Amino acid sequence: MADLFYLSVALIFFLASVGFVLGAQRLMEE
Amino acid sequence: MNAGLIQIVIYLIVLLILVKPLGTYMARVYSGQSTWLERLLGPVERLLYRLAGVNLQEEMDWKQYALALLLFNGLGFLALYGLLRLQSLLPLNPAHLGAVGPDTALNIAISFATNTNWQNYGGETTLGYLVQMLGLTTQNFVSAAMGMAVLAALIRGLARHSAQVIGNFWVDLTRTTLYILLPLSLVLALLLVSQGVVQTFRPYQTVPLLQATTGADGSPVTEQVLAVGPAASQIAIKQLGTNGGGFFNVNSAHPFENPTPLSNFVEMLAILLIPAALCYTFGHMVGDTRQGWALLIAMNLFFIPLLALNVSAEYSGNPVFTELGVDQTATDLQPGGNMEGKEVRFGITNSALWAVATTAASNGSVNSMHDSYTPLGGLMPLFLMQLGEVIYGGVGSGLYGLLIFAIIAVFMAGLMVGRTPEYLGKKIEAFEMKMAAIAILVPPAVVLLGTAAALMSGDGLSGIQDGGPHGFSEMLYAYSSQGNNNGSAFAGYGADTPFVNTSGGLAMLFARYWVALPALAMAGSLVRKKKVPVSAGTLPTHGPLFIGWLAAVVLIVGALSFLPALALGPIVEQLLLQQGITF
Repeated sequence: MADLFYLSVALIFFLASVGFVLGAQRLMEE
Repeated sequence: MNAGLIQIVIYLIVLLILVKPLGTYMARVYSGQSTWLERLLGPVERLLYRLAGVNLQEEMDWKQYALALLLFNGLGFLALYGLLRLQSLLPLNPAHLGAVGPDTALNIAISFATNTNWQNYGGETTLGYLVQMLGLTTQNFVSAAMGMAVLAALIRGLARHSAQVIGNFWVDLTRTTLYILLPLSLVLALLLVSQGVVQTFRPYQTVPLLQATTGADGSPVTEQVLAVGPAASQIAIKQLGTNGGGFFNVNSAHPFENPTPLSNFVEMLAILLIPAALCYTFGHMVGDTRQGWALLIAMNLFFIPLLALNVSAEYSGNPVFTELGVDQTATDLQPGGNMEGKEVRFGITNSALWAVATTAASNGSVNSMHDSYTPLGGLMPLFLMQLGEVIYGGVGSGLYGLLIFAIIAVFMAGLMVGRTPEYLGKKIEAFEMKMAAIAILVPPAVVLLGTAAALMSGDGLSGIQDGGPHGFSEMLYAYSSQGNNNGSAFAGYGADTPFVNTSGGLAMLFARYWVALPALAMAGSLVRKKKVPVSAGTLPTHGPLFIGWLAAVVLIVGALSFLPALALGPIVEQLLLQQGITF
């Protein structure tokens, strides 16, 4: 259970980083 | 003192001599040109591409590059986390060490995947040989290679024009590891072994004591367990890759990690070698080596004065001792100054030089305990980290950080004189500035917010060992180290708790990726632009005016972000020390 919690912390960060990449790409295209 | 000064001068001269040959070599590696190692390693490189299905000729735009980087690092984190949690089931664990706890594993896995190597554990009491090698040493190589790959991509963004692609992440990662990090590490590891650094799979050794003693309960103690292991191979890359995570708990203060003055010298040299040489690589790849030298000089505008201040503070010793009549002068019979927390075989100069080098670069290994420095001496490593790890900085990451500052510097200079800012012929516009702002604001934000959150939590406060401003410095140092991907410890801060492990882990993640990703985005934007020819209105970025201006921008950003926090820690502690108050 603790593993799921800590792994989800990292997963959320990496997904947010993917979001950062996609957001920056949109900003660049504007 | 004079002998110490000579050692520092020799160190800087040797470093400077190596910048051009290594920098030129690395430029060839990143330009896809053949090197003298091609004959030996070329078949290995091609085999790796074939196995991974990588097309050498196929380059990526910045988004593909960034997503490949995130995927690779995410999987690396997961693999290391798994190794740590399953350690008790794995072979090559002669001390039968158990699985690492989940929050500790999270912190360690993030720490090594982000090239931070903050260590909330003791190496010899927590990790077996397989995890040290397959987990930590592997991450030491690939996390360093990742930083250098991002730098290569940003340089291509500046060097190319009217293009879309900035290189292939898998190729950059492979070529960095194969042609730069592995050969240098092999040479350094052999050199370290020749000095007595251990490299063995034999279990920990039980040896008789030369002089028997008694334990806490009064029972006689006649034997001691000596931790050994495959240390040299890990130490070589920990220094060269600006990783810094020690095989043993006390890092390079341990005689099996750093036994002699010569091993100390080459380990110190390895800390700054690649970050310094990459400046030349940059200049070479953009077609004007003066640009690279300018950045190296800007770095040294901080490095040399802060080193001088650190050495001077430690040689001055503790004024409270002076009041008590203690002789702190250096003589033939004693090193003098403040020797608390320093190894006698290194003395003050080599301890201070290491402390400044390891925090200027985002290395984080230590050969002395920074917590025991005078407040002014401890301030220097702390402030060097807080400047954003751009004074040499991490391999790759230090230079792409400084390039971001250079872009901010030309933008501000452009605003002052009313001209469109440009750097190396590329116009700097709103998008680049937005990315630069994110990159320079994220590390201070995570450091200050992390410290503030820890100060407000019982878990964070309970880790502080000492009272007053010194205790605050311990906490500020911990978050400055993690929030700038340095990894060195001030010591005196008990960091292995769920709150500190998780908040520190997040600080390391943001500091690493939310600086690297904006750098890649800038590369993607810059690579599309045309080159503007040099005109009378172009600000020369290789001259003394720009070098001074760049240093001023780095200093202003660092000072504005951290002076209030530093005033509450080492600055007030130094002032109180002058009044005879210690903590």
